[in-house]
Amino acid sequence: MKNLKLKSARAAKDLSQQQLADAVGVSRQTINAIEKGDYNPTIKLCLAICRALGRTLDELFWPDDAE
Amino acid sequence: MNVEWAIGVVVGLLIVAVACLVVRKIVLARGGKPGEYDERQQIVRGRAFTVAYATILIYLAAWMVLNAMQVPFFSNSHSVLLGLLLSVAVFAGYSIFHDAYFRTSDRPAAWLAVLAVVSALNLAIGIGRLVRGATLEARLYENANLMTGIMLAAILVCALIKLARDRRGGEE
Repeated sequence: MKNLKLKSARAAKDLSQQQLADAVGVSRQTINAIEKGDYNPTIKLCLAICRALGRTLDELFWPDDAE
Repeated sequence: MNVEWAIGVVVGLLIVAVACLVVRKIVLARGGKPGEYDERQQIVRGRAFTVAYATILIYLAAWMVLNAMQVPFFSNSHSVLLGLLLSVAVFAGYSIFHDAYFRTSDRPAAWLAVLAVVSALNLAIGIGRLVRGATLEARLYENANLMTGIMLAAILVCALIKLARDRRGGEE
């Protein structure tokens, strides 16, 4: 299941995958895998991403009812 | 055990240890930090280890069957080396194609250059031996340099294919 909310939040902050990856200390491919839904990050990484993007866990990682 | 051979091994290990220390010192002096694998990479590397372990088990089983059937094969020590090289290559290949071979702070180009040089040196020595070896065993079945060179070249090719694919794909 793709994480489009993360992708749009990143785009809203005008960050590339590499920039976000650098901000949270992971590889670009890991951010890519999270956005594509290929990898479920730990809560630690979720929090780091939320902090970097100024969003809450709910906003980025809580699935919508439709999902 | 041949004394010259033993001295060669010790000197070789010392050179590698010194080279590693020098590279680490240069990286730290340039403000870099010791590289780390992120959480996804650690999981992938765990899977790669499992696959590599399975590879060496299957290889050892195959080797046992070949021995039982008395099929001509590498000498015992070189058969073990071949198994180790195979499993290392599988580990590296799996990690490379799942983006878990290089650490987040690594510069792949620098590592690939080192890999290319070491691979070329081993291949050059191995091919030289292949041409000038006294016996078939010495030329083919006891040619550790050739085996190592081929393994390193295979890893290098995997890494280059992955890098080319990443460049073509860009950010998704």
